[in-house]
Amino acid sequence: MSTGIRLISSSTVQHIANAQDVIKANDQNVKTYQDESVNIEIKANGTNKDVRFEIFDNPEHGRLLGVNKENIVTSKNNVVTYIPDEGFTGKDKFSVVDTEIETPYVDELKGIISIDIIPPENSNLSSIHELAVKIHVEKNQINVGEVQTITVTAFDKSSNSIALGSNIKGKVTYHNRDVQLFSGSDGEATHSWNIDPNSDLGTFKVSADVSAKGYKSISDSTTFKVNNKGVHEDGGPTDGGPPTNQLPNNPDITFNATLSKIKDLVPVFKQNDLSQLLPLAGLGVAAIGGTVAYGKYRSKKSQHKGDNVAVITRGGIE
Amino acid sequence: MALPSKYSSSDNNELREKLKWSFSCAIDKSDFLKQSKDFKAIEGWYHQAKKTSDDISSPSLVSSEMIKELLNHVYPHYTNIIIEKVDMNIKSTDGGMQSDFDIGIVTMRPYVEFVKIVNGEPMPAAKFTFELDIRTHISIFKAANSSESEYIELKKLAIELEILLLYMPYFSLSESIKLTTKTFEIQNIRLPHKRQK
Repeated sequence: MSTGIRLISSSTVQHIANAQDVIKANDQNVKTYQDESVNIEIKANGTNKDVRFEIFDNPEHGRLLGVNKENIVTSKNNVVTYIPDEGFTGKDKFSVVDTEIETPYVDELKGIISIDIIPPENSNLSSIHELAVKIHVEKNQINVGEVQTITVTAFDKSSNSIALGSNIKGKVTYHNRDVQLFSGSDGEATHSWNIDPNSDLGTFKVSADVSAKGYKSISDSTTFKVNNKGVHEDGGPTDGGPPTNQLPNNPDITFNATLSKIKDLVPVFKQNDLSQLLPLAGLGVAAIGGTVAYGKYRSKKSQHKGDNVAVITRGGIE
Repeated sequence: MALPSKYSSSDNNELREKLKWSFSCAIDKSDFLKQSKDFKAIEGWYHQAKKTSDDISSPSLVSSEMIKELLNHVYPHYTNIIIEKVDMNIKSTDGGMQSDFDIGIVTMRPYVEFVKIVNGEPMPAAKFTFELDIRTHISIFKAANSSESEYIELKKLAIELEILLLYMPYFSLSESIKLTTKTFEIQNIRLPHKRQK
């Protein structure tokens, strides 16, 4: 690899008069995988002296660790860590110059570090990280008419931190019948709904599938139980409210209902919302002839809509 | 960290302001920190909270809350270290004439945690851990006693402060990141004096 200097113009000649003392970093070609960082040792041939390098052109599709705010390489042995942007594959590059160079803009004085970011399907499976998932059910025992809230959080197993960018698909089932579907990204999904006063009773299953780039997908499940406390025999609440719909509680009963009938049977939803409810609650047309929840649950169109969110801060000295 | 009863904050607002300025430079001017997914995730929390509470004013609260928490913990901790060191120095000279001295490098690791609460249920905390390396030089001081208060007057407090980011909640740093280095002096600072027993 050449470390020679080609003078570009008379003005640059003055600045690099001592060209024989100028050190050029080696060009390098480096490979890494999508969403994986790589350590790069910056080297220069032809010198034994300690060299301080500066990142002159930053990478366009990632960032570097091991440099200070002035872009000077600060780490021992001139090692920097390149972190590709999330999901990026393709080629990236950055340039390095000796900090003593007065004309770092001269291309011939730059060391070019080229990085090839390879898609994950070509990556070594041993490098894939593991996910962990936590399903939190607000009320393990819940009465009809109450609001249930489920929060699913995905973690990076090794760091025990939230797996940002991970996708969560969750569902609530009753006797293998989908009654609530929800989803979330960035490692969190929160879903709240009102257990209809005329809901089926017994054990409901909550399951979640989590996937993320660079991770093995993972699933987990838990259960909660719906009790009939506080509900009259006619299906109405004990606080004197009107009786709710008269749908049978037996989840195994099959209805050959038409869509219009379902609309009639779902008083808790505005009819305009029904199209949004159906996919959310797993009530597709194909399911109409099957066993469905028939609006026994008030569902929310958005997983966060209506959630009461607050943020607190705290600190200390370790 | 508990604040000793001896501590009073009424006499050294300039130190507090300088620390605040240093933290502000470290956090507000760090593109790495502010552009990180960690930071943006918490901004998103505040954005969600704003929809459900009139008390939340802006997602930019993340940096200001971080600065406030750092200041609330670092300032009393550091001040008490100065007081302790000065007090030790006074004892070593048996209350005689004092000379300039260096405290040396004081290292502390303050942290700030953000906790998202959904329907009253706290989620896992997002914790940022910093390291402060503070080199302090104290110029001639004297202990001033009065019947109502005891305090120490420092002619000059020279501080070199380096602020590093050690850990982020979600992104794993392979090494600490230096956010800023600040050097400043404070003239004629007054600190409460540890009571003699």
